[in-house]
Amino acid sequence: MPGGPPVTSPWSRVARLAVVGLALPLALSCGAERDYTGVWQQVCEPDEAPEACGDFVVEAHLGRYGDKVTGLLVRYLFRDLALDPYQRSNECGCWFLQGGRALSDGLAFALFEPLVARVPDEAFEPAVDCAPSAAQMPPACDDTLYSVREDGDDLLGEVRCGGETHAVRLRATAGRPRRVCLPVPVQ
Amino acid sequence: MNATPPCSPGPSWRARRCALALCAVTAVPLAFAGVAQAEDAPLRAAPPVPPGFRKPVVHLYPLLDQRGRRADGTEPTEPPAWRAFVTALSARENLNVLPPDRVVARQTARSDYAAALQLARQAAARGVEDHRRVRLDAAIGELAGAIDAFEVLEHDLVAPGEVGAVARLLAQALQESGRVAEAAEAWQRALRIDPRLQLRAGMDSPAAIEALEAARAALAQDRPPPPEVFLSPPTSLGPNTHAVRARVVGDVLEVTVQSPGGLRVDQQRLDDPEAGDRLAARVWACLPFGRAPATQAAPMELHLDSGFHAGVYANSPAVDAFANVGLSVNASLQVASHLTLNAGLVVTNSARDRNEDLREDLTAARFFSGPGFVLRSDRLRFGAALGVEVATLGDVVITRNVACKHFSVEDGLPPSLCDPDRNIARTDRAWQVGAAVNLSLGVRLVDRFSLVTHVTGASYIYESVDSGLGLPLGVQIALGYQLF
Repeated sequence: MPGGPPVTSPWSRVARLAVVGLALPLALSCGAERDYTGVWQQVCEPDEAPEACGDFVVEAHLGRYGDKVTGLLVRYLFRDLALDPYQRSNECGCWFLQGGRALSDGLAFALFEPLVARVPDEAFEPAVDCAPSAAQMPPACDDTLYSVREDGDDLLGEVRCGGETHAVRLRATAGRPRRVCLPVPVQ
Repeated sequence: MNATPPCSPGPSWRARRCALALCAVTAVPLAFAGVAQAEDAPLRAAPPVPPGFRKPVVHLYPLLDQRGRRADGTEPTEPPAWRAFVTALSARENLNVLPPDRVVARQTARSDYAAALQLARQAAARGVEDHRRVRLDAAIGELAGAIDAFEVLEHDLVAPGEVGAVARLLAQALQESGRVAEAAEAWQRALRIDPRLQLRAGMDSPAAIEALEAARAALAQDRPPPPEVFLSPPTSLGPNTHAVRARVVGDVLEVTVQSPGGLRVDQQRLDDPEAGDRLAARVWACLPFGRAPATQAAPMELHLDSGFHAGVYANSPAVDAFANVGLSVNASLQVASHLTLNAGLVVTNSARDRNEDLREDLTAARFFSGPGFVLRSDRLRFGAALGVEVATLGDVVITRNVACKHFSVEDGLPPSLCDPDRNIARTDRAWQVGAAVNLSLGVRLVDRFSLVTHVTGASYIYESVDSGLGLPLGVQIALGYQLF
């Protein structure tokens, strides 16, 4: 094949523009890509969870914009399978997502300032079990990376933290993604 | 003047050949006169003329008989050749011939005719009174002015006796004032106006009678020239109107055809039993045949349609392509068979681009206007228009920062994740002007209703603000209605 850029005539450009002009409205009729946008909660049921949940579970509030993902990750105390852990009273910090990407069948994201936990509002009082202080209780490492793929209706993947990797299953739940994640007020 | 010698009598084929020869001789002046013989020629072979055929209009003026009284003192009668000439020329299907009586009627029906005639008659009356009071110089001036006015009005054709009497009095006044040479010309002029002019022995002066008869003899010997009105190029004729003036002089019927820009003279001896027909054939052959029916102007049509518009900005470097949907209204006024004037208005609102970089709905209004052409068949109507588009585009807010898209400042978003001032680009409302094209295809559904599809495009050459969006392409689906 000879080198150099391909030679195109003005008419071919016009024809191409015409085709683009006619096809794009149809192609764009489905609107922006918003899969995965919503609230996803970690699954801890023994027969479904790939790995037993520890002292905490996470809830991802995702927003997808084309091939990028953003949102919040909220951590809750996990006490017992019989109880719903995703209560405001159990919240033990929230983090903004950073560098989120939507893949062909899943997504990946990291946390912004993973060592600095935030709170839902300025008057929030964290649970005692988050002691010594929920706001001071970050994830175990500063390079936390979530990587999940579709598994039926769930997202199944792993969380890498330092040298460790833990399996995690996230399941969509009703509700609008939360957006507020404030710095801990200075006392 | 282009005088043509008379053709010799003979069989009809010879007459036709003669007519063609006459045409050839007179082709140059007639062509110069703008008489479109050449373009009319193909129609000669296809009588009868079709509806709408533009016939040449021929005004046949009354015959001027300049033969004077016979030797036995009797008045000459109208030659049968003249009546045959009028009949034969009027029978030509391609001509619209106004016979002499109608020409005279039109002449006297002019709005300014009566007033001008009254002024001429008043001048003549003053001349008569001056002559009666032997104020000869004043009489001569008034009478000469009156005759000129009569001739301008061509009243001498309507009432040659009235004008001839005034001319006779002018000649008489000139003679009485001793201006003999002028009097001789005036007597001849009076005889040309009214060849039957007579003075009465015992009532008029012998000198006047003698001068009149001398003038009559001179005219008979010299063959009087045609009146001035025969020779002056007609100025009041329309481009498709011709005047035919005829006179009998001696034993000859002479006709002058006055066309816009040109004259021709033909004549025929009266002793030919087919003189009228022959002369009419030659005159007919040298008149324009007429013009084909003018192409019927297409009736004006106004097509309106209204529907939905969907489009994109093909030139959108700052953001991925996004759809714009809205409403459209178009009007197409057909002003000629294939010519239209078009106008259209489109109002759209944007959809989201794939990555939702466009952060606010983008409203746009685009107005198009321009000429075009249209082709149509029984149910289809295709149009193409090229014109000018004026568009206004709302504020354009774009960011590629995903955090800026999802969060607001109130959410506690740290500036390192999203700094609105740095990560969000905002462009104020823009005005755009450029060339545009609008292709349409309509399918008539029922009655005046049709389904219309438009394909539109524009290329802007002026933007008040660089919005980063250009080259809009779109399609429209609309319901059309033919208003008239």
